[in-house]
Amino acid sequence: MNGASDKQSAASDASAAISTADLDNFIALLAKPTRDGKANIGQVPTFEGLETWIERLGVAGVRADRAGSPDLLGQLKQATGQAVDTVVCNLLDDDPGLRLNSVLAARWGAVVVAGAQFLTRLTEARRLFIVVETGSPSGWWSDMISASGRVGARMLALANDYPLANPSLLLHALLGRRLRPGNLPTQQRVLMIDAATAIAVGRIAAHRQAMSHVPLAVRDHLCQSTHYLLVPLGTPVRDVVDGLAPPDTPPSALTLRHAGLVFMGHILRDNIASSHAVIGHGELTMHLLPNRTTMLADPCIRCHWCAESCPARVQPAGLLDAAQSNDLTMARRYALDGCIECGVCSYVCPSKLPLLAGIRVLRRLAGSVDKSLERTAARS
Amino acid sequence: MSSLPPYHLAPAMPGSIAVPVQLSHVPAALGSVRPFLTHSGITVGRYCLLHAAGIMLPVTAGLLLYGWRALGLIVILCASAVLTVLLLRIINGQGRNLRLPHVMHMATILSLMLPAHLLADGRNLSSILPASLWATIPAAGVLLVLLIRFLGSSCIHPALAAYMCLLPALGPCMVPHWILQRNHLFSGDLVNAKTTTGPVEIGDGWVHMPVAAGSDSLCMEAVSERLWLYSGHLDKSWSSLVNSLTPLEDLIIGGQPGPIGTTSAIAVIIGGLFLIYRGVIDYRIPLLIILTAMASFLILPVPVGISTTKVQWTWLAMHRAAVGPALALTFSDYEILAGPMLFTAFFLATASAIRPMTRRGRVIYAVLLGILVAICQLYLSVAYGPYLALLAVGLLTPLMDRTFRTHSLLVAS
Repeated sequence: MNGASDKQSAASDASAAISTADLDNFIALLAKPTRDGKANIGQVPTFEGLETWIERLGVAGVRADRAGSPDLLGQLKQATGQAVDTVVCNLLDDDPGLRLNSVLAARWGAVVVAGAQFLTRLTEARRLFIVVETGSPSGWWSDMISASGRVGARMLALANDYPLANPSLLLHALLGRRLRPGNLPTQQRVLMIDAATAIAVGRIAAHRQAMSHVPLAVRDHLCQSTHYLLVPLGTPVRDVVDGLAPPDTPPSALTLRHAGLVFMGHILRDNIASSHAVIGHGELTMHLLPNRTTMLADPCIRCHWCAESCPARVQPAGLLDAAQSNDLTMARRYALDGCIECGVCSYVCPSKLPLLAGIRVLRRLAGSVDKSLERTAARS
Repeated sequence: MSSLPPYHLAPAMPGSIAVPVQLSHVPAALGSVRPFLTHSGITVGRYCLLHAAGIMLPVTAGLLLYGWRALGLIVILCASAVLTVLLLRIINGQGRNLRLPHVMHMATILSLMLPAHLLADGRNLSSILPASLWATIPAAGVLLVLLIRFLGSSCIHPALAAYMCLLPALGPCMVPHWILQRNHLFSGDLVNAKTTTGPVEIGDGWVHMPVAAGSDSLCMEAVSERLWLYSGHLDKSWSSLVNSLTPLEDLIIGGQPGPIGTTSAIAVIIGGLFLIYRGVIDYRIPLLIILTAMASFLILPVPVGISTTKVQWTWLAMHRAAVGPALALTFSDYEILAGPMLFTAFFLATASAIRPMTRRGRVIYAVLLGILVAICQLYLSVAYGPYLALLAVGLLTPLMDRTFRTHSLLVAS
């Protein structure tokens, strides 16, 4: 019971870090421009220019670089040279079993809005879209609805079919703009963040709080349990795995946990983290699974389910063919550049073909070819 | 701890804090107990089983209409195919690439394309048939497996290729004449017919025909044969042809002699719709094949007037006063329902190895196939015209795959 009360008090400390009064002040401040159209800079936060804030965010460790929230500092740097007209706060959860964005928005909805609105002002964007999942309980968004009403943000509800949370797909669905996968949304004049990033930005803007913890959602398939945590930056994955084991776990089960696989992000993306990896600014959802047996692939039966289920409309079977023959020309014909690596093709393939792995091989090959071409061009 | 919800287990990690969030409901996925999430679980075997589930309805209809001989034919053909695979594995290990569900599925399809009377002593059926007619069934199973090995995932359907090999070899044995009477469905002996010397007059058709005592089945001429005799301008005039055919209702339920699985149109259509519903086949292919073939039957020249000295071929026969739209549509319906066109459209043309991979390619493929089916049925054979058409159009599939590509949603072409 002592441990539980400690945690509850710690949680209340964390939640008290941003008081309602501060938040209202912040939101009201952000919502109230001065006569000349610029924000009131008399109180926190101050709008001292984008470059200053990029440096400040970098020093405070406020970064993000994950599937639903691309490289924050990279986006902001790009925004210095290219105007941003829209800020999208992406609250769609990739994984229906790990609703980290929903959890954060339900708890700190107003902070999320404030952080997103701060970035909107900072980049001088014209509008702020907050994208939530349609069909989810309205109680989750009550704070956010009132806060977004105050700052003039627009809340949009979308049917969250995986992998819509991907920035390229979301931009296409929202604005009809084509963002090449892997590129930053600011290329299409959009700044995209998720709930954790918005909270981190809001904290430093309102209170000069550096980013020392990140929220983390863990699905432990070994114990059939789900955890939502705040984890110090730099925590090894192995410590998270060990720490989530029930106290009475027998040694054999602990061995099984250590031998298990840790997937960062959505499980279909197949991003397996080593036990020595650390929790940082990357993916904030984690799956712990038992070590899988080797899957034997069958020959392709040309069912074409991979292409029919592909949300980006590429031809994964053709790409695998190209990967086997190291043929980049064929790979580009089958739209290698359009793949978002969501892993749906590998999931549905009846032959269990390593389609996603083949696409990643091609991407590496394309990257090395591009680099060698650049070197050749530089020499000449 | 007991007051916390189950998804909110307290972490024992130093430095971590449990977020006190109360969601209104627990997402359903949290209760998932599936250990592996990296594959849907639909493997090749289950993919074949999905196809097999769609084909079960034509199988059932075939068993009802043609009795235990049909069952025996299917079982023997499947068993011989499986045994061949196992033998290949034992002898030289080359059968390991052959998947048993796939082989069994192909064997079932081939058996549905054959008439049930092949499982009979040929001498009891006709003086021209050999006694060892039944021996062709296991031979067909062996041939099928060898063709699957030889053709692999090429653009030629192995069952279709096996059928085309059997067709010239068996010749007149492939022409069906027998069907069980209504009171002997499934249990009757197909070759215990009222007469084996020639077709009986069917009057109002199989459904309304009085049951003949003393025999399990009827011997009659198949509608596909009559249609072919007409469009090959060998027999009858236009109006007398339509009047002499068995009612369309018989063709819909399968009350006519024919191959085991292709006769009952309603069973084939429902089985195909099941496959479409499960997402196993693309609805465009059967839909466009049927629509294009129907239009082609109305447009292509048919012998409207046949005399001893002259055959009068006419395009768009429905515009002729002697024919009219109603009669032309009826003729088109007979052409669609009498032969294996529906079976080809739903179960053969949609096979993954044969149809093109892109949607535009499939549309072109289906339209071409529909036109060629109509041409082959009208001028070559109603009984195997659709198979010939599919063999021909299937050869174009690699070209269509090269020509038509899907365009990425996110990268401008």
